[in-house]
Amino acid sequence: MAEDTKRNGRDGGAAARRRVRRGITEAGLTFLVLACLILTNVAAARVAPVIDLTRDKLYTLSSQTEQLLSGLESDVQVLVFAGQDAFYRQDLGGLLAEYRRTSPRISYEFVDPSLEPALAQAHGVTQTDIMVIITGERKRQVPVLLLFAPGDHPDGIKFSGEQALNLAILELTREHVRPVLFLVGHGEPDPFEEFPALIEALRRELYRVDSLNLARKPIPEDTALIIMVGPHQDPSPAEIEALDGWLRSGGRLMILLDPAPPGTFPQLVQFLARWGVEVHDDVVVDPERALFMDPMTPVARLDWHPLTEALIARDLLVAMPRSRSMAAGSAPDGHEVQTVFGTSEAAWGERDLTGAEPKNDPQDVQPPFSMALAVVAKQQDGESVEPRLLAVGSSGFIHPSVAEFQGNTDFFLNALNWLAGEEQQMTVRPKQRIYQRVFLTPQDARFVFNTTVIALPLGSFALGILAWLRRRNK
Amino acid sequence: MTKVWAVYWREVQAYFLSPVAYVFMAVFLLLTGWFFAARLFATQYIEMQVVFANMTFMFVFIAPLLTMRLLAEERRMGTDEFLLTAPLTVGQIVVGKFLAAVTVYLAFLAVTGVYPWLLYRYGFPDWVTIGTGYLGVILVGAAYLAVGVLASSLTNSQMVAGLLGFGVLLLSLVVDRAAVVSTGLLAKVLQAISISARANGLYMGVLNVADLFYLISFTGGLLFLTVRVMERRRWL
Repeated sequence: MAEDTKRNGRDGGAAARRRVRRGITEAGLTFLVLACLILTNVAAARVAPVIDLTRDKLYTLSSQTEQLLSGLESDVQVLVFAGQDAFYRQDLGGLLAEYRRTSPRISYEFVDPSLEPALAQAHGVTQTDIMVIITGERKRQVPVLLLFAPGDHPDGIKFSGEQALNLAILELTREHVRPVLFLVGHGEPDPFEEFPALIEALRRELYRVDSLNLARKPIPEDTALIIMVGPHQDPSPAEIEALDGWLRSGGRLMILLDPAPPGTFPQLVQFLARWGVEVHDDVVVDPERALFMDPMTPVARLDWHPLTEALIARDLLVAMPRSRSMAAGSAPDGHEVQTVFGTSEAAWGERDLTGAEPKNDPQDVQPPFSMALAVVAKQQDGESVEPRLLAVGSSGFIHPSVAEFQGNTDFFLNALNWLAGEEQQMTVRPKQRIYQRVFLTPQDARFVFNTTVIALPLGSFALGILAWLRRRNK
Repeated sequence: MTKVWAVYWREVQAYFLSPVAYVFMAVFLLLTGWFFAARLFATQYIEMQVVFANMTFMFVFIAPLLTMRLLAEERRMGTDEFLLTAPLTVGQIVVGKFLAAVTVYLAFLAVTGVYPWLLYRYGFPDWVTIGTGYLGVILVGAAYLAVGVLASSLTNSQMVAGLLGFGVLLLSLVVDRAAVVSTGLLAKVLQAISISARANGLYMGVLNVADLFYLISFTGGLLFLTVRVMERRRWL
């Protein structure tokens, strides 16, 4: 008996030891597997790629942003002073995370000023919904609500955070702002009234936009470039002389000259001819590259040029409503004329501007011809030297009704940056994030409601009753 | 594989021959349908990002109900002894039962395929974004079901298993919320472990491979723990 008890005790002790050993092994294995999972997740978070699969690449930073971020020479910190329930946390947080992924120089943090009042005070923030962008000793406050604009729909909003962030970073990292002057006094449209979106875009590119009447005052010295958009009257000889002198001294000039009857701009035409640009008194008709079946709004055939490179890379088109044609003439010594974009071989320059049905007549201008020509100094020792002139046969492509078309605005802004010598800014710019909408009639809405809220749940419930009946009858 | 299939098929039949799954589906469809229609009428946007988030939120309440029976009931009825002594590994039992629960969930989601069809009827939805959104909903739902399966392995009471699973999922909602409202290092840690924060990118059409890996490894880790719990009972 005592022997049995002793043996049982020995067996029980061995079993208990086995259980303990097994328990330790199990715990070790579990710990090991979980530790491996955690470590691989930490590693994945650092190296795993992020792919934007949305149709319009809504969450991919634009080339402009990538250029800006890759060129950052100092760290940029973004502090978003936001309430805990701020509606923009997801949109803005996602955007800032993408900035951070693109450049290690960017860091960001959401701060609740009610929880960290000292930090808010240190940055002069007295309310929520303020973004503070800091680089070195410089900082800039941007109200977050400025990143949002009303959409087309009463409940809809457009998010333009990328544009606003870029502007703030540019303003902090760029040393100076140069003026761009729109010529007035020849019936040109007021750019501030006619092209407000473009003026805003220029501001985002860090230009100060102003107008200039050459009959009243000379060209200021620090001017980046002068733009003449769609004049209706010929400039005076004195004004032409001022422009010519400005160009010869290394100035930059863009002229958007709409079709007009012969003899409307004798001074301007002569001036352009002196610089190697022969403008024709016609309107381009291109049945092969017509936009929305309008042959007088051709989609330009882009030639390779620094001005069009970014557009060609992104396969973006430029529409040119009511453009005159032009051809390369003889440029002044040391200069050359370059084609920026033209038309198809089927196009012609319609000389009959009376509005009659366009028809390719013998007196019309025949291709090849261009709709935009650039005049530059020939390269010397591998370096491009001043001056630069760009002549475009239409001002219609920046009209608000067409400017949103594919590459129109980007072409205008790239041209402007090229003229101003800011080649690093020639790119494709961020678009506002706009949600697609659907228009439902009351019948459509009833159909949607009946299908989703009534039919589907009821159908499922009916299946449940059938299953119950079947079970009961078994 | 055939052994997993045997367990899986038995559970799938148990789900679909009982009226309970259909009732859960009806409730799920009623609420998601309401959210879908309300969102569409209010904003008129051709997108399902918010609807996907609502779907997974509602599944927090349904997942424990679908899984509470799976292992706890076997233990209560004493049938787990047969299972554990059958020529099956514990892993095969757990995976078979888990896949059956996932199948029911997929059936729920299959019916919601009507929503993108309605968007297509009236507009031009972004199909790839909708596809990644559904992938996110499936992965989050699978993670919730894995929580339920683990809870079910810890007790022999369905009720306790259901409440335990629901409690853990509720905690995950608290983590999701805290990840949004906190700041600094805490925010980063919470965002890293938050299930819904990891799925947001997929709802938006952005495929972050790290998020994908997290959601899959989270589910795999919980199933692994379930197997360990069951194994422990086998040798204890």
